[in-house]
Amino acid sequence: MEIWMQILVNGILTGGIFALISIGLTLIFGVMNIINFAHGEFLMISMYLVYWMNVKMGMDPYVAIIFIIPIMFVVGLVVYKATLNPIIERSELFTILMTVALMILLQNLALMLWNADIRSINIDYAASAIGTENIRFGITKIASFAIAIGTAIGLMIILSRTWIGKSIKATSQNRTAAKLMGVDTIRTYTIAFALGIATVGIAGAALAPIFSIYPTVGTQFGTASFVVVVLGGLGNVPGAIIGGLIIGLIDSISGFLLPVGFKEAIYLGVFLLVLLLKPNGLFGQGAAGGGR
Amino acid sequence: MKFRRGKLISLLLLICFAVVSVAGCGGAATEKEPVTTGEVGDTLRLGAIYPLTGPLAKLGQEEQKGAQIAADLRNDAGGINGNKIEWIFADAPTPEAGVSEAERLITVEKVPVIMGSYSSGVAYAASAVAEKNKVIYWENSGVADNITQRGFKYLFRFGITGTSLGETTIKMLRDVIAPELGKDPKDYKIGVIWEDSSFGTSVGQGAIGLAKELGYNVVFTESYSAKTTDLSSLVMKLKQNDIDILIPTSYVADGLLLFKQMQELNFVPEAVIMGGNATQDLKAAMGEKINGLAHSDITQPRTNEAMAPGLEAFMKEYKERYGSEPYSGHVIRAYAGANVLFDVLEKAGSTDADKIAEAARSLDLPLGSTAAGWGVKFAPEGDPMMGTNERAEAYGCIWYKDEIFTVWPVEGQLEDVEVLVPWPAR
Repeated sequence: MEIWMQILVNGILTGGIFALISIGLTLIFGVMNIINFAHGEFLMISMYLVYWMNVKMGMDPYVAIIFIIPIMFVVGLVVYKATLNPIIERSELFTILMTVALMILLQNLALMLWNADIRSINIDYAASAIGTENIRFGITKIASFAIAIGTAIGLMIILSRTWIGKSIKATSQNRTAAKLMGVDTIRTYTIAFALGIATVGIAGAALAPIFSIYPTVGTQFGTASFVVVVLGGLGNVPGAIIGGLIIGLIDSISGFLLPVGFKEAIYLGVFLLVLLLKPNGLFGQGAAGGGR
Repeated sequence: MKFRRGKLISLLLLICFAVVSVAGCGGAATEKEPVTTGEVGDTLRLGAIYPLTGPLAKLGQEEQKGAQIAADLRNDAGGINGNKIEWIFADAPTPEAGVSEAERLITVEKVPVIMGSYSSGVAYAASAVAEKNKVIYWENSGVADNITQRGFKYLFRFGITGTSLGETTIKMLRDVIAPELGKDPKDYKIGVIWEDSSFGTSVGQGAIGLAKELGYNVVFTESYSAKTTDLSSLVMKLKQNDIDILIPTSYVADGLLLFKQMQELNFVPEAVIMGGNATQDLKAAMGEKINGLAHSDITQPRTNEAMAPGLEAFMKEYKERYGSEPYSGHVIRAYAGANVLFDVLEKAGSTDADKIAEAARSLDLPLGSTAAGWGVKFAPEGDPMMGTNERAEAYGCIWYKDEIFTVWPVEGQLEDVEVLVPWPAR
């Protein structure tokens, strides 16, 4: 019994990590119809920033979040203006190719700047856990779970309560109509993209104490976060949280019942089923999003 | 709109798979120089393929350093029969790049020998190109057993195989760990886990094979993908099976994840003997907690010179050039392997592939003859492992006082090293 409790706990906590990574992706996906293949690379950059803040300044990764949010927001602004804005009016194929190019560029840039060393933040509490002898809650996993929920709530407040949030929503529903109503769609897109990157920046900070950091670390999370986003419904922030938890639980339970080598195959199987049976995701809002 | 989404998603899926193979590609083109004939006083140009960019670059670059030091020291001592050695380095982050770079080295650079390759995948692919073109492929590093299971005439593997890495974990258990813990190795419940590429698979199977042969109690075996982001379910299975001795084979990142999750989930075996991966990255990440962790691996810098002649001189040269200790034993293996290759070329006195192969097959050096601690005797033609070095064996090492020391074979020990078990300490 205890072992099953532990497996559920593991699944939920791992799900928190998947959810956290996917929030920024679903925002960019849902608003702009941009499949950001470089999403994992922005995660990687944030992990490196947190690593250097820790090594050079002794800053705790969780404290670093305060600085990571504005830094990654600006990174998002600059990247959007320089690469995606000029081609946003063209077909999706162009933005896909551009984000793939960005992915390769950022990976190789990281390799040039920081070489292929596998780095790791060595902090005391990284592997500590609370709970009973046989039901353990990893401290860093609890933290990333809480941060995932916090980020989702924060983002939903921004989207529903602020002017820019409302213009993001309006633009995502119908770009032309929003433009006619006086919404500056270019500015809206830029900010939505930057918000998405800032969010994945938060994820990077939360993941830095858990995972090793190296130039291709982003690709490890890429596939899983796409699955989560499609499962939760494109552009659906709470959906990303629930999608993350589902994938986390599938990962944990199937990994225990079957040889662990199969678990990726299992959740990709679920992904295919969802695409076939419910292509808008379990919580998709029909025609929402993508007014391009 | 729905239709467009569907199209988008299918594109996404397509690109997901395409991207994996694209990422990290991009070979570097070197300037072409006139080809030399290899006469006395000339420059002898040799090819070397390593992953110098991409995710495998770290250790590829280390091996490149070993090759370069070997050539420089040999040139200072007069080169090969009066010819100066010059490496033509090629970058192969992937097996596909290994194929095209091997083709370029052979057809454009016209090198008589290609050395490599750090990665088993690159070695496997690139050596097939060399064989087809009757060019010597000198592999120091690739450990996958199947590299030398194809009956290639011009392929030689100086280094150890994955099977040997696996077997040494069990030999360490028998000769070092179990005596230290004061138990019969047969009383332990052994768990063997490995990442599921050809590297982990051959190491894991090597360990299981020898353990069963010796009548040890292997109760749990399983493979996993090194790309996984969560190993908690694997740790739960190890815990449920009450494993005493864990033998994991991983890369660095997944190994660290495993150890972190073992601690989180309160799984404490008596000892952990890793197949490979005695690297500085692991130490940097774990700090002093690493002490007591055992590995079977290539020969480490802290090995008794009596077993590894030339190691001290190499270590001194490395420290002078790079201002630090080698990152791992990889650079030593590349250095030692390059030196054996130079000896072979000297003996052959020719760049003809058949003559070089003949010279290589005639070598018969006992264990403890090279800086890597190994001897040299290539499996003869007709042997199922034809071209693999039968006198190369993985060494056992353990972390002690934040450094990694050779403990097996016992003659390779530098000084008295304390074996700290159980690991990880509670």
